[in-house]
Amino acid sequence: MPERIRFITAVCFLAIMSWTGVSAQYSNTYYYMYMVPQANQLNPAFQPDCKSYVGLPVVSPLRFEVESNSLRYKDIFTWDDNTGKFITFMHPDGDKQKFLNALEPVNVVRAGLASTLISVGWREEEFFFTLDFSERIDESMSFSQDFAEFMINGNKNQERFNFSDLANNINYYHELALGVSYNFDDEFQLGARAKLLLGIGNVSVRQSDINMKTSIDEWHIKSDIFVDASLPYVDLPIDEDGYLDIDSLRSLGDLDQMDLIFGIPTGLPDLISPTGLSTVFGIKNPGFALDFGFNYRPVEKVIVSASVLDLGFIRWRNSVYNFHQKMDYTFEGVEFTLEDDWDPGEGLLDSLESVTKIKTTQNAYTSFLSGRVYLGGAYELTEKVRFAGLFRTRIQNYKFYNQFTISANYQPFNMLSGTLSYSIYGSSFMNLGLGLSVRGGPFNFYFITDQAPTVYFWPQEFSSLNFRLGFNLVFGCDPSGGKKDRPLID
Amino acid sequence: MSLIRFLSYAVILSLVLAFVSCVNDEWMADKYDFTVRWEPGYEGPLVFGDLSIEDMLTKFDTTGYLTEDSTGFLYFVFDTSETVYAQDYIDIPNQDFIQVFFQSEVDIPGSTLGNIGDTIKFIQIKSFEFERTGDEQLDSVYMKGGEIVIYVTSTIKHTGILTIYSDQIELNGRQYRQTIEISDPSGNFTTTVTVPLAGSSLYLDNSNPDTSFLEMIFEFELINSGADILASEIVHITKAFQNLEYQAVFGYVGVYDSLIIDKEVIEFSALPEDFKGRIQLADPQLHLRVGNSFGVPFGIDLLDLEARFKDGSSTPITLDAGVNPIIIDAPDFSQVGQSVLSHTAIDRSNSNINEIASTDLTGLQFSVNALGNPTGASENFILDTSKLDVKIEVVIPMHLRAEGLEMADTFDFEIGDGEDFSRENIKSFSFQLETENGLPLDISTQVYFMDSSDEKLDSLFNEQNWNILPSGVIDNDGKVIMTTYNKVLIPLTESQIDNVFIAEKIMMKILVETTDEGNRDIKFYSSNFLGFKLGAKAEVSITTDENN
Repeated sequence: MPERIRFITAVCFLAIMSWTGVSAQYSNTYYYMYMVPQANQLNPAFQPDCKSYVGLPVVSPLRFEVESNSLRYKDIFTWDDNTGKFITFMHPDGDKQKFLNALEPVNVVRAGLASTLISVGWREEEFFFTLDFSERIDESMSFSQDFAEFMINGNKNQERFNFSDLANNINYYHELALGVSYNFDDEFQLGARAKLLLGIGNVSVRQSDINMKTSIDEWHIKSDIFVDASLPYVDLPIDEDGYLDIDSLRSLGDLDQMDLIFGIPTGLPDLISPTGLSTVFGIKNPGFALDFGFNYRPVEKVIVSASVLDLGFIRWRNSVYNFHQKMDYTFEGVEFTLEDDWDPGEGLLDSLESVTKIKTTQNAYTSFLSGRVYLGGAYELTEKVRFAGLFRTRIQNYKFYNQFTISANYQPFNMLSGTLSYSIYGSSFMNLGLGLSVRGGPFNFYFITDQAPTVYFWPQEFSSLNFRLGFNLVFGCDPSGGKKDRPLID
Repeated sequence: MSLIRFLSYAVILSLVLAFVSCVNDEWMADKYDFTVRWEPGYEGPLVFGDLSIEDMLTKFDTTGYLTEDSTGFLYFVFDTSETVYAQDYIDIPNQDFIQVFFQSEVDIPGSTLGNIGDTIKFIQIKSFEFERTGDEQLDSVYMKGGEIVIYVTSTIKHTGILTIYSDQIELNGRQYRQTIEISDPSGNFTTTVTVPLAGSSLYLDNSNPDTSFLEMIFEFELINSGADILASEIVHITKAFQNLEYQAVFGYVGVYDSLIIDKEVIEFSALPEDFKGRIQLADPQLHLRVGNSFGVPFGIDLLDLEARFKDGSSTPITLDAGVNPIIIDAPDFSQVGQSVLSHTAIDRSNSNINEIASTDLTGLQFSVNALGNPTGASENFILDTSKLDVKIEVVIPMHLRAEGLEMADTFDFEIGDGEDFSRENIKSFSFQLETENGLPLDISTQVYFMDSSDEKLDSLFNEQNWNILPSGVIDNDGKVIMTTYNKVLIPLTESQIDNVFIAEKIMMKILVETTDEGNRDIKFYSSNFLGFKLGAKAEVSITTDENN
């Protein structure tokens, strides 16, 4: 394996498996980076210090993050004196138990990718309007500590396994957002943003209760799983009793049935049936979300702010499937018979098929976005230096995931702004972030990450990866022409 | 741009560039070793089964069938059968009755016959002998097919009316009467009349013990035409009963004597070539089951009885005096249309059959002779549906003792030391066998691992500790009254695992003995079963070196 690929693989593996916080890491660092027009996305009340801006399509901003809630770099890699290299916990000399001990009862790996195709903003008197059109894909995969134990060690160490919360949720949608902020005498800004959501595809695991008790005599598996899905272009076979027809599904998805040229399929499996453009645009899966917030300067040099984001939902109606699988099954082995054509493999498959039948309906359903609440306070030490604290909580499945960030922003002059941040994610305390925004003429570039310094200085504590970068054309940022940000020092 | 501003730019950009470009050494790819060793341990069930004795015995021998009595006691039955039908026993042949009804010895002038148009009646009563195929003396015959064909020729030059009737023939519930008009006085009259006999009854006169008669009356009413009757002129009648099919016959039907089965051999399934040991059947039997719907008693003789053995030899089976013939009862006149079942068993009480029942027995030869009316003349009946179903069953009650039964089979076996899976991938292996034995058998099994030249490399069990499934607990009658439970965990040693991987064949050997080392007779019932559950525990080790 070429070294570069191996390195990338390692980093991706690390990134996927590591997450120091218990929450998704939408970067907090740029909440107070006023030079970045898209800071408005974290607080709709925020008004950029330029009169208008136009983002470069695709990368204004481009956001990517992966995170896990349990593992750090050091849980996966350790230094091995024998080889003089870092080894994984799966290495012959690795410590698998240390890895398992580091896991939470439920471990979540989340990845997100968002790309804004259109991002414009402009000022009208005391109003500031924004219009954004973005593509958003979010995925979160969760597994229990018992699941990892079973995969790594089998059932040699324990008999009972709780696989509950084993899930993979995916959400892909378009977001068209129109925001407005109003400035009251530079002391108070109030803003809101309405977002039209157009769903493309979704998998929502509503319930995943899976328990297993094993012994050499029998394996007892009990499960109760509800999954809703909107699978564009997928036409799943359902038998007359309302169960997913696994046999047909297998044959429909079989690439061997398709014409091949040089071994390459020339079409799509029968399972896939493209129909119309409405699916591409997500018109059949409409949704709505709302963001709102404020900035308030109660006294000179002090700013308090709050925002609520992503209060919304998507109603999934296109190619929807509601799966329910309930099982209470004791496996005592394959039943032996004296028939000449006894086939243990077939016997096992038959018994599994009979107990893992998936009841399938096709009713529309609603999925909710993960709402976020930000509470912040900033102190402007000088015109160029600002210190801030930010508390953020994300609400998902009736659970709260909290982060706390403090940051220092230094803006030596109007063309440059840099931010250093420190965050606490759950039990992770080694999270240094970095933000940089540069403006030259009408060009603005920014890059923000919550983890890069940590990776550099304390790689052992490295636990997640996120970045956000953007290119904008900004206009009217000259203090004499544009709406100037709050004067830090009069 | 002022110098300070320029310197500020330069410093910050330098810092950024330095930060971005200087990757911590820790992130260099050559600092990582991605070798993975996966060493899980899994334990779980593999196979289970509840094998009934019926399943096992049926698998063992498919030429017979297994049956059970009301207590569930099992028998193996091998059978063959033969049937005697009514037409085999008696047939009614065609009957040709020829009657020259009228012929004058001299010429008769027409003037002597009276006035023209006067009638003169002639009557003849004739008893025809009813042709037989044997010594039967039938009282009555009920016909379902056939016909009477009457052929009349007249050369006299007069017309007339011919009437034929018989009190011994009943047609459609009435006396048989047939009138034929001789309408042509030219002397060239001929006619043929056919009368269907379906539904008719013939009542035969058996007053003469050696023959049967059927009486017919012929009346000819001549209508004088005035012509002379010459000596050469006749009225000729031929009466034939053809294609006779009876529905039922009553009376003495005669003797039937036929070898209906001639030295037939019932063969049992061959045991495996390398079968060792001894089985002694406690009570082998040969059963004669006859269903008789003839109104005729039969005597069945079982002849040529021989036991055939694996080595080609045979031993006669002798029946006690008086066993042959076996009298088969017949339905009486209140049971017409019914079948009467007779059953006779040839067993240790009336033969030496138990002496020949051993492991090497491969078949049984026999002949069957059937004799109708073995005790002489009697009142019988036969319907067209009557038949004699003779079934010979070799019955092997599952009442036996066995010792030293050893069966072995060798299979090709190769786990091999492949690239993907080798000896190094197995850290440990053990399996658990849990059994519930409801059979009256002690069963021991052994598995040998052998090389290509059939040399034994190792065995799964040691010779002192075969995996023994102890027999169920039996009562004095040889019936299992309680199952025996056994559970054994067998860990494979390192050397055993080594040998498994180099073995090219495995031989499975099973040793079976009836309870108490084959020293007493046991009985198999349909409730007997062998339950087993096989589980395994293994620790594997799989290493992938992603660095290469």
